[in-house]
Amino acid sequence: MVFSTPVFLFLFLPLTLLIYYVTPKKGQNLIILLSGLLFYSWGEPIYVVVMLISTMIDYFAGLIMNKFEGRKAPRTICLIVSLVMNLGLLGVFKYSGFIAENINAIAGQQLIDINNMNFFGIEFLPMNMLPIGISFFTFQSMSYTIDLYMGNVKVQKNPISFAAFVTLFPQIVAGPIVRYDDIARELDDRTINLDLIYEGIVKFIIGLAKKVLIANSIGSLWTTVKAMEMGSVSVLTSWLGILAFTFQIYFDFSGYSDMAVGLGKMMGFNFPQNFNYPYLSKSISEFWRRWHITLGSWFKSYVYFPLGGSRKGTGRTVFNLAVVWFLTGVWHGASWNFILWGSLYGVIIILEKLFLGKILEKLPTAVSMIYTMFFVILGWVLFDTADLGAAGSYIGAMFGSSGILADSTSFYYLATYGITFIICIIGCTDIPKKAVEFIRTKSAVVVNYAGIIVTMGIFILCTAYLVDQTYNPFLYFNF
Amino acid sequence: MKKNTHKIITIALFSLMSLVIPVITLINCFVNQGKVFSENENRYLQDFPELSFDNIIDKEFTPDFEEYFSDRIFLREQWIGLKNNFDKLLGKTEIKGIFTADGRMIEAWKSYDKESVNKNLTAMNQFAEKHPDLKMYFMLAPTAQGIYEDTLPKNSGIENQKAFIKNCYENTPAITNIDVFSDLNAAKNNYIYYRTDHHWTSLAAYYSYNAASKIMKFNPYTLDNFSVEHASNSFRGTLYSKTLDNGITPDTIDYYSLASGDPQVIVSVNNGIETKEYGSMYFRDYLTKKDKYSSFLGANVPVLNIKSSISAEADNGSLLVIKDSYAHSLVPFLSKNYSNITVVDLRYINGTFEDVGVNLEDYGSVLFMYNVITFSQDLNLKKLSFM
Repeated sequence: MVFSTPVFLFLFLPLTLLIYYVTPKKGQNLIILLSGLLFYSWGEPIYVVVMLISTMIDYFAGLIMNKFEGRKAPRTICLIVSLVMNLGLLGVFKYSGFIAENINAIAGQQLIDINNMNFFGIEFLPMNMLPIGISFFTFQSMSYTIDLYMGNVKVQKNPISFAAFVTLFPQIVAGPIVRYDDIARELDDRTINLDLIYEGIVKFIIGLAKKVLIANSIGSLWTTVKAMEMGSVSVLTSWLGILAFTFQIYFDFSGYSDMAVGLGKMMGFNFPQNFNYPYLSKSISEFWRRWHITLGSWFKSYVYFPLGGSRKGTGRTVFNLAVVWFLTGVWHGASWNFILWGSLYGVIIILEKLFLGKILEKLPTAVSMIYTMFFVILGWVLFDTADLGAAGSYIGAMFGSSGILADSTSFYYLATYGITFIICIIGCTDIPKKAVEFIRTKSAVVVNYAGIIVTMGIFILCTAYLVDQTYNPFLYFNF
Repeated sequence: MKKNTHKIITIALFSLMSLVIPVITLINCFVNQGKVFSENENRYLQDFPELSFDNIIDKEFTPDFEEYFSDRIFLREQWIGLKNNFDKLLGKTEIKGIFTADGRMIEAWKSYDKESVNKNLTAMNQFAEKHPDLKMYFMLAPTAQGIYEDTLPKNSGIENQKAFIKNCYENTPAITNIDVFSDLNAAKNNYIYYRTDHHWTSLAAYYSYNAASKIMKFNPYTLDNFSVEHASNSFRGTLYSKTLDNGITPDTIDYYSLASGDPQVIVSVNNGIETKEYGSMYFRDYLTKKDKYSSFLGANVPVLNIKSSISAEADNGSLLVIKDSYAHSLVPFLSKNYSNITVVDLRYINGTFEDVGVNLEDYGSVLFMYNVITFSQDLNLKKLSFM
């Protein structure tokens, strides 16, 4: 299920919350588990089984690890089982098709028939069967066994509580990547109060608006531009297109994270923040401390630090960074675009770590911000084009391959999307937040009551946009 | 306590909306079971999907259920109207392929398949060359976009209809052209296009009838020979169905009849299965339905025939009209000058004219009557190459 649908908003959510609130504390985790299963199986009626099996294995791995406290060997085996299982799921479902394709390409012949692969006798088509959210729930699940192995968290003996952690519906399909450690305490004992519910509703509505009102609107420009014949697209049009995507992905993803955080609060959980105004960053390193924060911190905790981080000399640091950024690219998807995208960031971050960072600090803020956004925007081309060839011709158009700087199409888009662009630009800075804080210092009452009107107004508008998406007049226009 | 009042209000309002909408929607689902037709969307709403294991595993149940729920959601059309109004506030001039400008909605025509249009033109021209004994005429009418282009936003990527018409006329040398663009353009301050529908009005049809008379050589009645009946003031057409914009004034359906008395007519409608006869060209049943434009000669059918008892001196003989729905407004005027008009819609014919009982030798003239948008998208005119 997706948050931004009428069925979620006006059937699943009210019903779940209603049952959740009237259920005594002891039973609430069971409600989380059941609602999570319904939520997940709504979109993945088959692969929900995959998720359940992975949950069970991690649960038992944890129990056994706990049993052998102080004995390294059996604990290591448990960890390895958990890692192999989780990474194996990712490998089979997410990467097998890509790996097979490349093996075929290298061999120059059909060594592996991509259209007829099987896994322990079960046939599947690797290209079109990625279970929703598999990259998120496997990483979340692994955080438990790894942390337990390292002694950072206590074992979860209650299978329902552990399953509730994995199936907690707000974060199951698109993050934030909530680590077991983040909510371990709240899983066993949480309080739901007025403040938390209020904050949750506001956060949820803001997230919904980011997704439904902003991301979807600006996204239609990107869809249009991307579909054009790149050879004749003017410089301005191509930049408008990729800028549209730059905003679309931020508002889409951070909106989704906000919704998840808000829903978490409504249920008594405090999830970690996932975004912190990334487009205000003054270096690529800073960008990645502000963008998809939970993914970055996952890799830092479970890959970068265990490899030695930056404590083992420059050479080793560079290697560790390279590994992390290669993996970050791969995590986003099984294609060369993503690998190149991650590697691009890896290279820049290594350079920043070596010397570029010091130079950037001395430059005026505007320059370092433009530098950062330049590479971020270039990165998004790789991120959202079909293959390296398409990315290449798009970047070509951005730098004038058509020989046209701007044409009537550019100006039409500039005129029709002008207001949306302005909203996007303001919306991804901290200006709105600061403005609210400023007014609050003058009059808290105004902020509080205007807040009611604004939030409910936005909620009503979002509903209107969502319902509109389901309106399909079949008009036999030209009868 | 006072500190929390705004929080309580927010939670209360959010809960209220989150409960009222599902409750009323579910009641609505319960009450409106079975097949429900949506006039505006011109389709049946999604039925409650079959709840079976196979249906769920095949991922068919949940998308259908989502559609079922959304189709019946409380205040559905009001939500959509609100969305479109807000879009307008943001400066969007085009919603779902419809421009709203100057108090009227205009269907956007931005591209067409040049190759397919050329095939149609070639087929028409060959057809004319194959039947030299028939006088052939071609009337290509602009839609509202062609006439009101100046009211639309700059650089919106629309095609120029005047140039398109000119090009089509040039590529059909064997057929005599009837220019209606100039007369309609001159009358652009009059009510010649519906504000909420993609058709032209009866008045526009009159101007075109008048323009045709000069080329087809018949004596037209003047505008003051007619009396006008406002048959309906509440017509909301296909463009309205797309935008659900209540800010645009509903349209008026006008019937023009000769003040001296309309000639008797016999209208035979062949819907492909059976032929029915009517005594009027105005099918008033449609005036109580959504699709009021169909009150002009009914919905589209393969073949229509109108026999009108006009005096011998007014009669110009038999006319075959090959057309789209724009012709439905025009034919009532032509019937004052042709005693026998057969109206053929190629979209509903799979075969030859003879198969539907039309013998070309019975006619003196053939009129092709299309609007620019339909013509540019038509895939049926090429059937003429074997007729």
